Order: sequence, then structure tokens, then C-alpha cells
Amino acid sequence: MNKLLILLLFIVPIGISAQQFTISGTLKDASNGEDLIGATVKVKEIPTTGAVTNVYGFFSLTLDKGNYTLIFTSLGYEPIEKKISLNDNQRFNIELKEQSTKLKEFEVTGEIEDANVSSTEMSIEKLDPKSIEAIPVLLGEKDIVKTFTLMPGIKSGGEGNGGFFVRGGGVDQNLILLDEAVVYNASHLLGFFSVFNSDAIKDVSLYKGGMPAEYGGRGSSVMDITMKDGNNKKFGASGGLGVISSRLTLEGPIVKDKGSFVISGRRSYADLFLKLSNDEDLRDSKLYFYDLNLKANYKINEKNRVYLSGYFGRDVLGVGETFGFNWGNATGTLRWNHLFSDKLFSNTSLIVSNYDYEFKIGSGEESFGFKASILDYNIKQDFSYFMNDKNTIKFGVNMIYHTFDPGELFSSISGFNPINLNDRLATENAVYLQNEQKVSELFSIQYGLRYSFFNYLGNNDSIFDYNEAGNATSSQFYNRHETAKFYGGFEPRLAAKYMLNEVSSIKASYNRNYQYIHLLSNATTSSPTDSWVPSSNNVKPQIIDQIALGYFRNFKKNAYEFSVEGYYKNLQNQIDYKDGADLFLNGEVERELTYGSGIAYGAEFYLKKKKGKFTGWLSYTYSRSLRKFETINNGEYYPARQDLIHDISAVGIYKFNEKWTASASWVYTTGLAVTYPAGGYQIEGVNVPYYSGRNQSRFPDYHRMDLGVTWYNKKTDKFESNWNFSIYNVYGRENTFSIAFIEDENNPGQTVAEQTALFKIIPSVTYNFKF
Amino acid sequence: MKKIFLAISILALSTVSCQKIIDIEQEDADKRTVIEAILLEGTNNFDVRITESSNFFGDNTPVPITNATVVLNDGTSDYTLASFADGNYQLVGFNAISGTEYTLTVNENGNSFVAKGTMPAIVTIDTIAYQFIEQSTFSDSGYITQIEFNDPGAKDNYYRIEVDVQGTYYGDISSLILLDDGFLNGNRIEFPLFAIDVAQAYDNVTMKLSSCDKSTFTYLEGLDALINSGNGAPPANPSSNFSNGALGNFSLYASDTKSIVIIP
Repeated sequence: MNKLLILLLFIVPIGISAQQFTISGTLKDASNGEDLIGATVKVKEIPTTGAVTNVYGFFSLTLDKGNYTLIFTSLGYEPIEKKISLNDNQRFNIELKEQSTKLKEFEVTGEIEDANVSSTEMSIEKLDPKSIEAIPVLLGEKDIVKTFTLMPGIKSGGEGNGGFFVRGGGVDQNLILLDEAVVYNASHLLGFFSVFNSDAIKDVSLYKGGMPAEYGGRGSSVMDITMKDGNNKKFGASGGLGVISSRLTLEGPIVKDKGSFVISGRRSYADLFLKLSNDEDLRDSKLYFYDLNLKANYKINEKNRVYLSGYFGRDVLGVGETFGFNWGNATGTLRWNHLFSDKLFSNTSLIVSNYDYEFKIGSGEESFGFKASILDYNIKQDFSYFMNDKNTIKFGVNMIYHTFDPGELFSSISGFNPINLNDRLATENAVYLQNEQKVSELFSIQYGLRYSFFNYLGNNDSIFDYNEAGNATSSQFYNRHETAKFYGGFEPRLAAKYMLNEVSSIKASYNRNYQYIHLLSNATTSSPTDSWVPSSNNVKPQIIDQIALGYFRNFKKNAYEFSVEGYYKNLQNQIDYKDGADLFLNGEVERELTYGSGIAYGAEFYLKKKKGKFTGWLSYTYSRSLRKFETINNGEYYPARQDLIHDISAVGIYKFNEKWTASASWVYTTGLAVTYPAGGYQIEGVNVPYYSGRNQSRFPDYHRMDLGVTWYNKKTDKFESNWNFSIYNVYGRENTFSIAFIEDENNPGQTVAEQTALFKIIPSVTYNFKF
Repeated sequence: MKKIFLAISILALSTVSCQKIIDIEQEDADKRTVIEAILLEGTNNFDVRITESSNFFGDNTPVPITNATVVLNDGTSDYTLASFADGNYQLVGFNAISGTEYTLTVNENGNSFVAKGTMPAIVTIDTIAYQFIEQSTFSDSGYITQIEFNDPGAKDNYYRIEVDVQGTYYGDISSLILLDDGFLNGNRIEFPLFAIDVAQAYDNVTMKLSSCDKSTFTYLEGLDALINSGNGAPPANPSSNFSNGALGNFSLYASDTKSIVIIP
């Protein structure tokens, strides 16, 4: 680490010049006191310089002594100008007012609007829940994850598939952070909804590549979600009533302008309708999920602020007393912001993340069940050093203690022996250092290095080595917390931007990511019972390298954005199952695994219209994602399940007037790669399928159109509300959820393929309010 | 477990989901030779059936291969099996002896498929026990049957169990009952047959305990996973002990059979 610092000091040009002073402070929304993330401070006299607020709304900018005009601005807010004489360090806590809707539609304000072209970052998609309000969604539940899958390079596996795929990576290669806490399973109800209640969310960024060095732990992407802080001016409530669920959010000041809280809950009630059913089994069934987001913050003084946030969510399925199944995440984050100086911002976080599931069959004397979990304790220390107007340095450390409970079979039936697999323990650590440097007016670069390391720990048990055939070759006993296996590696990160002219730029990035924990799926689709396993003496960390190159161009005063990005990824130490693996309650699951490599590449085209009555975007992605395992497909490359070659998304939103907004979206994706029988034969008179290669067939192509209309009631100071009507899958496309091979009713003894589709046309209505 | 989970989710979604038969584009797969050879301990006819793999969808009648040469070797002599028009090959009244390694060679159209296996020793069934249980969530009221035998401690043993309860047969290829002595080596094994329906009073119950070698057991496990896995891990062909990519297996069984009548 010392060497790194020294190295960095050499790289960073330290200009010895005139006396310098620092302007720092925070930017907030004037109506509710929410910190503004990514808001800018511009200097009129030096157009190429400026600062951007961090996730806590803090900025710092160091300039030579002199007279300046500062412009504080954020997208959708009215800019504020301030003339200053800079002859000492100054602090500004600025509140920006939202633009009136009229202005919002037609005016072009603030250079920030060209962030697409001018920022150093590439391969990033940002959303704030407000902007997705009008996009039609399944059953009226607006959903950030579902909306991201309409962006280039981010794909969904279709209905009933939890999770999402980024640039050919697996579902487990996405780092999903909610106020810095890892969310291990982001899906409700088998993937129809994400666990993120958009009422509780302020801001989301999704990095498809070129992620800054502060992020690590997963191979393909980072989805960084920030919860709302709550209104620190006045109490308020907002919520919605929908077909499937209802939401309620309460927020308000703890101490006016100093602290606030927000509580946001959501519960689905499909099971209430089941009670109306004539079928007794259905009537006694449970089928619901809930989410609870809590957050409070308090500003102790100008230098110290604390935050406490939590998330609790659960899915519950059940049939009468005889069967129950539930799963969910719980996270908690305690944060302390501290200003060591106007230039050195520090954040310390203590984080807990838990995911568990349990199912139970039978009741009372005659029941048995199964449960498993993963629990993390995480300490994070991050510093931002706003060195001068050319360099912003970030550095920090992170330590995670993982406890994997692979499973426990419990039973109240005599003679049925409980099985409790031993917990598996590990620590995952990282240090990082990065600098974002404006080299010239045209060229800027973000470079960083992350060193991560992982200790697979013993737990008073023997750890086995397995050979390729899955047989134990040796074993060694390790005490609790004794290191059984160590891995570590450097993860370089680089992103550069060169402005071709005022409206276009080219960008390039390279990143290497280590992934030390892996998701093993019991099925070909992801499900709540998938289990996370650590790297170990048998399982090596995944290493993923990505290079990306992009061209960015805005038209008509940033009313249109266009971009094309190409990427190439190399994936090492990928994991798959041996043929015919059995995973359930398998204490030696590692003997069922096989290891290989992969590549993924693609081109993403994106055209977006940001302004005017009509807004929306069109995206097309061509991509491939291939895997190579010695023991699968004769060692030749084969398509990963998520090798969705062609992907098109079109989204259009038309605002007729203050009252009416209509929207439409259409998606098309190549079908998932799946394994079908290549032929058949008979053994002892029973038909047996014969397989030739992995993932050589395809589900039928997926496509769907959704429509929506939102009607806004007249807004008053005290109350606003809207009605949202949507139709999911307008033309009733039966998209494949699964395919089963069954006996042909008309030709006994012969086999046919039967497709199950989950949804045809689904209309819905939602009422939203705020006061 | 997975199935129960899927069943409930599908139940939950049944109000909206819809099924239809679809056409699947099927590439013409390479034809593979399928050899089903079962050698039983003691003096029995040794039967081998050789076919060619066919379509999985549509017409899937097995195509017999009749021009193969099938030779069994017991380490000292070769025995050539007689060929029949339906793809069956037979050696009449062959005495297979426990502990002997047998080699089966099939030559067909210039391809040679070879498999080896050692005949296991018979493990005798000691008792068929039964116990009455009341109706519950998991079964009807009736008699749960249990097979009891002493596992020889010398080496790993692998078993396939077949049961006939008053004319109803359990344990065929599509519902295999398999057991190994991994955790119980050298112990008395008392294995309750939860997998089959309960018996009623005065039913005749016949059980067959077939010891087999490891390769046969692995093959049976592979078949079972393939036929019963549902939506499980990516499917794969069961391992075969034949060389050269033939499907099927050269299976060696040493079986013991016992019958009882359930007396209340």
C-alpha cells in the first residue's frame, strides 16, 4: 500500500502555483432537503473546471485565489449563481429548487446535460425512480431492475427468471448494493418483481464495465442503489394502491434541517384473492411478499453526520398447513460521514447483510424442512481527497466476514435423522486507490488499483481436495478461523475520455475484477434455493477482464444522445456442474463441479431523445457469451444460457399535457440457449432421451409490447395524485417459461414438446398519491 | 424438493399460465449404438439387445441392429451369442460366477464396443418387515414395508431393489430404487420403502435385492437423474461402461428374491 501511495504521488502532477483555497459544501433539494447526487458546481470564469457532488451531496473544489462566479446546478433544478471573492476557504450549503414543469419540458439548462459525452465514465446506466414513472410495467409495479433491462447490454431471462445478465455475465456476477449493503437475491415472486421498492429509492447507477476501484467482489457489473434520506423540512406521506400490492412511505424531520427519517413499506396481496377461491387448497394458500425500507440520518455538526439504514424483505409461499416456503434479505448499514478538512471527506460504514430461505413440509409431529443462509459482516472505510480542480483521489479499505450455512435438514419425525452441514467461513478484503484526473480540457482519465484478497477459513473440520473425477485425494483438519486457502490479486481499473469536439467524445476502459464467491443453482433457471459458496482449495476465484471502447455524440443541444460501445471480456475460472450433478443437501458439492473459461463480446447501440413532448430510446445489442469446459461439449465453446444474440428495446413516452402521459415499450430478444435431447432410445422398454451437446438449442425468441397511460390529477401544494393504467404483453405473445417433454396424447409412446408461458395479456391499474 | 417448489409456484400461477404444444427444430443427431446387456449370476440365458438411437420426438421405434457379432469372454474362453432378427442376441444356459471378470465385445459395421464387469456376490435378504401406519399427509393407511439384510463389510456394495406388491411392480427403469453402503458399510441395513405405495393386509410382497458393480450403479443413477430430474441441472447421458461411445451398459447383477404375505 505504501508503494502504491508513493507511485501515485509520482503520477499525480503537483502544480506549485499561486495560493489556493477550497470551496466545499453540500447541495440539497430545497423542498425536502434530500442530498443531490451528481449535482455540479461550475466556475463561469473557468468553464472546464468544476466539482460534482458525491453520494452524500458533498463537493469540494480548490482554486487559485481570485474572484469567481459559481453556478450550482443539477438536472431538473433551477441553477443558482453566486459571485465570490476567494481569499479564504469557504463553505456553501446550497438548496436548489425544482424547475417548474413548464421549464422542465422546453428549457435547456446546465452543462450537466451533456454528461453522456463529457464524463470520464462509460458503460454506465443511471436511473432515478421519478424518471421511470411513466414506463409501463407488469401489474403496475414500477421497477428499477426491470427498467434497466430495457437498456443496452442488460438483459432479463424472461418471465419467471430472477436476476439479470450484464454483457454476457451470469446472474451471480452482479454486485447489487443497497446503501452499500450487498443484496444477495434481488427477486421477489420468482423474478417477476425486484426487491427494490422504488418509492424508497433516490438514485441508481449500474456499471456494465470500467467500474471505479472502490467497487469489487463481482465479475460483471455493479448496481449501486441509494435510498432516500427522508424529508428534513416537513412530514409527508406518499403511496400507491395497485392490483398486486400497495405501498406507503412516511418521511419527516427528526430535527428540522438537521436530521430526517423515512419508512417505506410495500406488501403484495395476491393471497387475499386466493381466499375467494372455491378450491380449498388455493383458499388456504399463502402467496405474498413484503419490503420494508428504513432510514434515518442526523447532522451532528458541519463536520459529522450519521446515517442508519435498513432493508427487510420476504417472500412467503404456502399451501395450508402442509407446505411452507419463504425467503428474504435483511440488510443494515450504519454510516458516519466525517470531514477531516475541506478537502478530505471520509465515510465509515458498518454493514450487515443476510439472505436465507427455509421450507417446511407437514406440521406438528410430522414435519420436516430445510433451511440455508449466508451472513456477512462488513467494515468499510472510504476517503475522498479533493486535491485540486484537476485531481480527485479516492482510497479506502474494506473487510467482509462471510458465514455460509450450506443447509440444515430439520425434522420432528422420529427415525428421520436431521442433517446439519457445517458452516463455511471466509474473509474477503480489499484496499484501493484511484485518481480522477483532468489532464487537459479535452482529455481526462480515471485510473485506480484495487488489491483484493480472500481467506477461506477452517471451522474445526476437515477440508478435502478433489480430483477431476470428483474423488477426494487428501484431507486436512483446520481449526476454526485457521486459513485453509489464500487468494489475492491486483485489479487494475482504467477509464479515459477524449473530447473530439463540443458534442462528441470517444472513451475507453479496462477493468479486471476478482470474484471470490459463487452462486450454484439447483436448476437451469435461478431460484431462491440457489446457494452461494466461497472460493476454496478446490474452487478458484473467477477473474474477469473487460476492455470497452465507445463513441458518444449528442445532437440538437443535447436533446438527443447517441452512443455505440463495443466490449470484449475474458472470463477465467468459471464454474459449472459435471454432467448429472446432484446438489441438494450435498456436503461435498465441490466434487460435482468442473472448471472452465469463457469469452463474451458485443456491440451496443443506443439512441435516446431526452427532451420535448416525446421522449424515449431505442437500443440494439449484438452480443455473444460463450463458455469452454473440458468436460462439457467435448471441450468446444458452447453458448452460455444467457447468450442472447440479438436484443432490441424501444421505449416511447408522449406527454400530451399536464394531465395525460402515454407510453409504450417493445422488447425483442433471442431465446435462451438450452439443452434439448438430440435423439432417443429405449432401456428396458422405457424411452430415454439422448443428449449430444450443452446449450445447442434455443427457446423461441422472446418479444412483447406493453402500453401505459398516466392521468395526473390537478396538483395542489398539499396533495398530488395520479392514476396509471397499463397493459402488459398487449398482443398476447406466449413467451416460453419452460418446455417439458410429454407423451403425445394422439400418438401414445411418442414424445412432444409442451411449452408453458406465464402471462398473456395482463391489464392493471395503480393509484399513486403524495401529500 | 425442487419439484414441490415448482409445483407450488406453478399452482400459484396456474390462473394465468398457458400451455401449448410447440414444434422444436431438431437437427439430425448422429446415430448412436445402444447396447443393453444384462448378465445374471448363476445359470441363466444371457440376453443382449442392440439397437440404433432414433428420434426423441415423433416416431421413436427402436431400429434393431442384427448384423453384429457379440462375444462374451470369462477370462478363459470366448462364447459367441446367437443373433435374432429383432436385434436380440442370446447365450443359452450360461453359468455366471461371482468374482469372475467378464468382457463383452460387440463388433458392428467395423466398430468395436468393449465393456468389462465383475460379477458381484449375492447378498441375501434376511427379512421383509412391515408396520401399519395411519393415514397422514404423506401416505394412505396401510403397511410400510422394509427390506432388511446384512451388508458384507469387505468392500463397497451397490444395490438395486425391485418390489412386487400383489401384482403391482415397483423399481423399473423409470422409478429406480437404488442403495449403496456408503454410510453403512458392514452393518445391518434396514431400509424402509417410503418410495412405494403402502401394502394392505394379506397382500403378497416379493422383493428382489440385486447386487451390482460400481459402473452399473453409476449408470443406473445417471438414468434415474435423466428420467426423473425434471427442471434440474443440465441433463447429460448416463455413463456407460462400453468403450467407443455406445449408449446402454453391460450390467451384472447377483440377485436374491424373497416373498412374504402381510399378516395383520
